[in-house]
Formats: sequence, structure tokens, C-alpha cells
Amino acid sequence: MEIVFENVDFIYQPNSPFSHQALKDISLTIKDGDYAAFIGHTGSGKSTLLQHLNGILRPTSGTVRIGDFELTTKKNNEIKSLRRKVGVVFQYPEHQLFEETVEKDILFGPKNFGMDVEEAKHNLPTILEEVGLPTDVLQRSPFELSGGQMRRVAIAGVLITEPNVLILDEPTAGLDPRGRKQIMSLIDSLHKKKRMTIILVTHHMEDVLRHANQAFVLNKGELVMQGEPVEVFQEEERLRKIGLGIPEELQLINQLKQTLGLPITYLHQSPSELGKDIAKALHAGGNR
Amino acid sequence: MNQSFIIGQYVPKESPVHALDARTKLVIVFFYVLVTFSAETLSSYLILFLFAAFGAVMSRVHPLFIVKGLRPIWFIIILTFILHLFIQRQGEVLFSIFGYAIYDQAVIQAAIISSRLFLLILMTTLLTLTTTPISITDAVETLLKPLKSLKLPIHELALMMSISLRFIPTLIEETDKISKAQASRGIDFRTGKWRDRLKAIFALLIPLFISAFKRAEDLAMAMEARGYRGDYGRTKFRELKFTSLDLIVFLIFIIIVIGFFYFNG
Repeated sequence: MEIVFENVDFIYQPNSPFSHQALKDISLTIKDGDYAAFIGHTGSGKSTLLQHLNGILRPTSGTVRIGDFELTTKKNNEIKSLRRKVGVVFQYPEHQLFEETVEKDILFGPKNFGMDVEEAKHNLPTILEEVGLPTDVLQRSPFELSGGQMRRVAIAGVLITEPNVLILDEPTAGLDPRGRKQIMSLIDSLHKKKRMTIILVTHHMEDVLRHANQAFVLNKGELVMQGEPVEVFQEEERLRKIGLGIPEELQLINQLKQTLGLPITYLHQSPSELGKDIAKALHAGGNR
Repeated sequence: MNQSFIIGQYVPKESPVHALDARTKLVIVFFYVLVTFSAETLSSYLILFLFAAFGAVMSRVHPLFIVKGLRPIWFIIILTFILHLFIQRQGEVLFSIFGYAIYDQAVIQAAIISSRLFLLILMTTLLTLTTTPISITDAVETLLKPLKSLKLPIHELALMMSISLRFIPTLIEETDKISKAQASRGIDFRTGKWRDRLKAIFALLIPLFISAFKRAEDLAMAMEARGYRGDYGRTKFRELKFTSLDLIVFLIFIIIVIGFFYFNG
């Protein structure tokens, strides 16, 4: 489903002393099957923007189009079917678990959306395998699990409704390096194998560079940059000014370019490939 | 969440009312409330109102802010007024609406009760607008200290009070977050069958309780790690100070009370 924002403004508590404009004239397009990443400082409006994607918030002015759904200032009665198609994994999603067993919690969404619960039950083992949980957790209480496992249960609870668009708000926050890697590769496989449109909010610039094909930079409610991650990260100065950095790989390449004059371009090399490229360039000899 | 609801919300300003000792304000509000309940004549109400208005002006909190913040209470005040108007059946008939007689005593009673309510809420709102929750609990603790000899856990009660006040905004935020997460999983808190809605509330309450318990555990651990052991040997970072300003305000209040009883007959 294609996602289009047209001149979207959002104001929290309009016409009150507490009114605060969180989004200013946002226009953007995320194509079907994209892997889009949103970056920005805390309070830049990322979370507010995400909440427009499944109708939790409605724009104060402007239009949001998600496939055939149109969200404007007016109330939309088909919000429930939109929410089924657009799955959201909020920050620390493990806080939303509440059922007695993992199975019941995962099936909570399908029940609410009026889906065939038996069929969803049938799909449980596949979903569990995808998120990397053993099937014997199904009958356990979600509160007996570790934090990382609870997060996987929460993600499974979103995936079971088979959304077309998956939104993840800092899905790796607070996880150990291994957990992070697993979650990121899970998202990758959902994007590639299931052709899901992925929208990721993250503070890890490395993840943006490695996984996303579109990057959007927000600052104080405005969309300041957009494009392919490699292009966006070219403008290091501008990013630094709004409190953001660039990925380690690009930092290293830039520094080598400046100090040794090594001509290396980033072409999605893995760290070891990048190492080999640097060695090759060093052998060829720098300009200085 | 409705943030125009300002009862219990502190507005930082530099004003004589803010500078007063929290104990002074607490004691005055306490006696003001007592006195208000014995008010009967118009002039005694006028005196009470003047005192509250004087406090409101001196607090330098924007009057519109106070009026707007009291909005949810206006409803209750007006409702009380109307109820009294129709229920009281004493005195002479003043006029009638749709064949329903309104008595003069009813009008007076309605005015008295609703202005009583208004004054009470205005004063207590003024207290919370100008005093941080922390200093209110400190004041409660010091004022109730004599009860400690009766083995009442005053310090613990004050601590519970300040912790719960501190975590109200956190809980509101948490509620907002979880209800959004559950709404994304297709739950509907506003429409649907009564039973489904009850079930929906559970999906909100259970995670909320769990995180509150977790937070309490973390807080207890953090307090112990920093050497907390009740009020034994504990000193205060912010000490309450009784100044000449407090004395002046007390004197004014005593004069007001004397004037009040003089006019109250």
C-alpha cells in the first residue's frame, strides 16, 4: 500500500495554552514495498507522524492516504480495517501484553479484527518460528518470559494479523547486540519474503544505512531531508547541526578520505569487505 | 488527556503567595474551609470572597487560567444550584417555570450552597496552583508530627502521598501509551457491546498495574541503594521557613475571621 502525506499539520491541544505544533506541513510518499526509515532527535515528531499511519491521530489539516484509505480531520469509520492492514510495533511493545497465556495474547488482535481465529491459531507455529520463539512458550504466561522474549511475543501479536505495512518504533531499544541483530534480520526477511512495506523509527544510523532504501529526517516537526540513506548521510554537516550523526562506516570512509586521501566509496560493503577495500586502497597508495 | 483540568497542578511564579510557607497556606485553607461552612449572611460571604480574590490576585496566576481550569467544576456548581432551586420548597413562591413553582428560600439556598462550593474549590485550587506537591506533603508531615507520639506512621504516610502525586503524570502517560498500543491491535474503547468494552478496559488495566508494580519495585530498590531507612536521622534539603510574611498573612486572616463572625451575627 502506498502511503502519501499531503501538507499534514498536527497540533496537540489546539486553542489552549498548551497547544504545540508537532508536525508542520509534511508532504511525503512511501511507495509500496519500501523500507523507509525515520530519523530525528527526540521530540522531532517521529512518533506523532507514525500515529497518523493507522489513524490513532488525525491530521489537524492536510490528508494522509494509505492505499485506499484517506485520513483527514474528519472521522473515518473504517479505521478498524485500516488498523488490520497497518501493524504497529510501539516502543517497548512488551508493555502491552496482558493475557494469561502467550497464545491468547497473540490471538488478541485477530479476535478484535473479527478474523478467523482457528486459522490464526493454525498459523501460530509459523509466526513463532519467524520471530524466533520455541512453540512451547504458547501455554506459558507472557510474564514468565525474559524481556527479549516478551518483545518477540508482542511482535508476533502484530504479525499474526498479516499486515501489509509494518511500523516499528525503535524495535531494538534496550536489547542486547544479539537480540538487536535478530530483530533487524527478522524485519529484513519480512520485507524481502513477504513484501511488506516497512517503516522504521530508529536512532541507529547504521541500521538505516544497512537496511532501509528511503530515509526521512525530521527536525522540530518539519521534514528537512529525504532520499536514499547514502545520499542523506552525505550531508554530515547538516545532520550534525540538528543533533544527528552519520553511520560509523561512513565516518571512517570520510576520515580516510580527508586524512589519507583514500578513494573509497560506500557500496553496501560488509565490515570485512570494507576492511579489504581499505587495505587495497592503502596498497595502491594514497595521494599524500 | 484533558490538561485544562488544573486542580492539583502547580504553576511556577514568583509571587508573595508562592513565597509563603506551605504550612501557613495549609492551615489557612483548612480554617477557611471550616469557616465557610458556618457562613450564613451575605456580608460574611462577601468577606470570604474578598479574601479568596485577594489571594488569587496576589498569586499572579493569570485569572483566565484559573477560570478556565475550574471549568469541569463549573458544571457541578451549576448543577447544585439548579437542583437546590427545584428541590427546596420553603418560603414564598417567587415565580413559576412551566407550572413548577420556585420559592424565594430555594433561590437563597441555591445561591448559598453553590457559592460555598465555589469558594472552597477556589481556595484549594489556589493552594495547589501556588505550592509544589512536595512542599504540601512536607507541610502535612510537619503539621502532623505531634501524632507521632501516638505511634502513627506520619512520615510513611507523607512519603506515600508524595510518591503517588509524583507518579500521576507518569501513569497518565503510560495509560495513553498502552491504550494507543491496544487500539492498534483492534480494540475499541468507545463503541461496541458493553461486555466487549469491559474486556477492553482489562487490556488497559492489566499492563498498567504490572508496570506500576515494576516501577514501585525499582523505586524501592533505588531508594534503598541510596541509603533510605525511613525518617530516622533524615534531614531535609528544602526546609520550610516561617517568615515575617507568613506572620502578616496570618494576622490578615485572623482579622478576616473576626470580621466574618462579626457580620455572620
